[in-house]
Amino acid sequence: MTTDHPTTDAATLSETGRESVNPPELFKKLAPANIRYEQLSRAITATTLTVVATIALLIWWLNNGFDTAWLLLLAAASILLVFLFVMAWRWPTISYRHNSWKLDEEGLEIHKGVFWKHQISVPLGRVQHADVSQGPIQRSFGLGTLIIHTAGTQNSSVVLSGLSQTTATELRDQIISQKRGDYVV
Amino acid sequence: MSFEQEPTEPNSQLPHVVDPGNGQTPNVSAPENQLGEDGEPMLPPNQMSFLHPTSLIFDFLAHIKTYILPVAIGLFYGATEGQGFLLVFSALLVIPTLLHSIFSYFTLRYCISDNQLIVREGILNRNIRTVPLARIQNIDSVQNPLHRLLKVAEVKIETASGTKPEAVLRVLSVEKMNSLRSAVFESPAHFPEGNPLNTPTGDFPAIEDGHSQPAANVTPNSSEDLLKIPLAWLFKAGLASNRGLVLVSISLGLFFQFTNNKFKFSFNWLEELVRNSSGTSEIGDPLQSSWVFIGLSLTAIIFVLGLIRLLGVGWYVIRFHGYQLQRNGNDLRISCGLWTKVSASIPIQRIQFISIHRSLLMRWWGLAAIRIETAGGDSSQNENATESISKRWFIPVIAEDHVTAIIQSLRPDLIWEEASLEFKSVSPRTTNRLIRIACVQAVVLCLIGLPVSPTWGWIPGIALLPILLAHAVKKGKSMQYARRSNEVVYRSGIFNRKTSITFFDKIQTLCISQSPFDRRWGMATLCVDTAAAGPAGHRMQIAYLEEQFANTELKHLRISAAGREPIFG
Repeated sequence: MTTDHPTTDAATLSETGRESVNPPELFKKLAPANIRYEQLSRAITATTLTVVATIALLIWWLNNGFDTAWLLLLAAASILLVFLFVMAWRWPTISYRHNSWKLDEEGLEIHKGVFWKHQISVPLGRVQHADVSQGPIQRSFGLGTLIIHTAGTQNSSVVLSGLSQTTATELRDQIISQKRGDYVV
Repeated sequence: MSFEQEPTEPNSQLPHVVDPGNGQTPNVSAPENQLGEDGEPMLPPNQMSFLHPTSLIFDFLAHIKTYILPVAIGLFYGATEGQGFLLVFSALLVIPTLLHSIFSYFTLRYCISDNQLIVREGILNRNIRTVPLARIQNIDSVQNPLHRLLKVAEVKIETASGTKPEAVLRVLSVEKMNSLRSAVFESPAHFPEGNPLNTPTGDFPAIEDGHSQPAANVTPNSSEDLLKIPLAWLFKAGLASNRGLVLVSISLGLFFQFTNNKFKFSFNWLEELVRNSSGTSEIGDPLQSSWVFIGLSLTAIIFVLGLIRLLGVGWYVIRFHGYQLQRNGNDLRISCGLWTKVSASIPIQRIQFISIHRSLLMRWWGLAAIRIETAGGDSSQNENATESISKRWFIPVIAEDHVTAIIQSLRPDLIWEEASLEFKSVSPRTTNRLIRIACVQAVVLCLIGLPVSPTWGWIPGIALLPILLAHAVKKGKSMQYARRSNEVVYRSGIFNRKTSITFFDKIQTLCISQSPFDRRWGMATLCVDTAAAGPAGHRMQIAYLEEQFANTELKHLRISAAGREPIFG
């Protein structure tokens, strides 16, 4: 086992010990376009919800007329929707800061999650196959999602979304070429 | 992956197709080699074997089992109530199954050719399944008393893919099964090291330790007895297990189902007994009869408890009578069963995960159970002993002083001395954290209780607090983790102590998770994921580790998992 591997250098530990052991510069961020994409897709969801809420409130109003309950509901719905729109605007930037990945000689490592944090590591050669998928809106932003399938049970597919399509494809090819030998489990 | 290779020397008794194979990818539905004029592989027709003729019966029985009850009820009512239509209709239900069995018998053929098992099914929709012998993980066989009477066995062939056996040959004669087994496990392709396919193509240096050159110096035919389970162990294991409870609940279910209609059971005799024992025909003295009643209930409870344990013993003895674990070259072979004989072969290199379970009673008696995980087949937590003998019921019971030797024989490079392992406990603050959780739980219990009864509602919460606290303290101490030169070991459990081992080359993914609470405490959960995790009933999710420790462990495990090429095929 190599103990003098650069990434195991204890000196790179941050003072709090709360950060990853890895020096952050080794980790790559997702594509910046992903922020815009996330904002757009969240805004679309929020808009859809707004439309639904408006229709529901209109129907209520036409049936029951104008009363206190309706007003309260309107207030609650507006607050919620305003919150959703604010989050649609802010959240992708926050989450962007907490998502990163790296590919090195040991395999792929992904960090994600803002409140619930996950560091997922796929050691070299465990990839059974890898897909790159792209939704219609993702395509217009040039983004792609990399899905890595391992023979594992709980993390049998590891999803890394928000890469640029070219990075995703390159990464897929790199990971596949890292797959050595022809072993099953 | 295409390559040129010398045609591997076929086993002399095997049918052999002249052309060297290239269909090493598993389960290609039509191998590209040797396509005949109609685009179908030319399989030597004289070498394709049918299943055993009694397959007709067994296939029929296996399929009809799923709807035997409605048919039987239909036939029963049709006959007793004189409903001719019902009788005929129920009888007709059977016909499609019968036809299906006949059809599948006459269309299914199999052979071993060129290091591949080929199973051909169907006429119109012909399906040819090609399983490279090297990919076969297990060959399991099941023989119930009827099978044994006819000297046949149901054979299941498992590869790493999917949740179902790759092929079920229902049924083969015992000789055919044995020759299939030896063909698979003694074929050169079965030893990955002998096969150019499975040697790493990367720039990793060949690893020169014990298990990189196994098969060559082990003669495949030498089988070595590793373990036989004496009846006494089975008795103890049965007494210690809760299997009986499951059986009792099943029988109770059946009982209540039938008490609803015609088969009404009566408790009159019990009433009679109470009357007689109280000495009068009337229930006169209420005090006396209530004493008798209490006595009777106690007897009944003791009887039921005893019955549960006895049923457990019975289940263990019937399932695992004559249990034998043998090592044959690179394979482990298990056979057991009093009535239904089950046997399984497990290639040693396919073992992903080993788990030693010691329940409270078993620990008192110095016993343990060992479960393993192999990829392929049913990876769910299958309790059915006929189907999961190679996983869940790998070694149903073993004396503590045999454990070390057995574990060491499961993998050549594994040196196992559990007592001398340097276990690292989880974070020392874990107990603190768990105690806080216990207190919160008690408070919540009190708060739930209060609305129910303002005067007494708080009692359960307070009464449970000591138990919760004791549990928290015990739990904090029970979780231990160790990393060795080749393996990761995790131990947990308060009553049922579980110790699990997995190997660096079997690790599929590693993960560190942190909930907001974890981050407040500076802790993290390290998960080590392997293929087919589940049957062992113990997941490697090591919670409450110090965050920094978890991170360095992840680092180490990453390097170890990647740097060591998975050696086995």
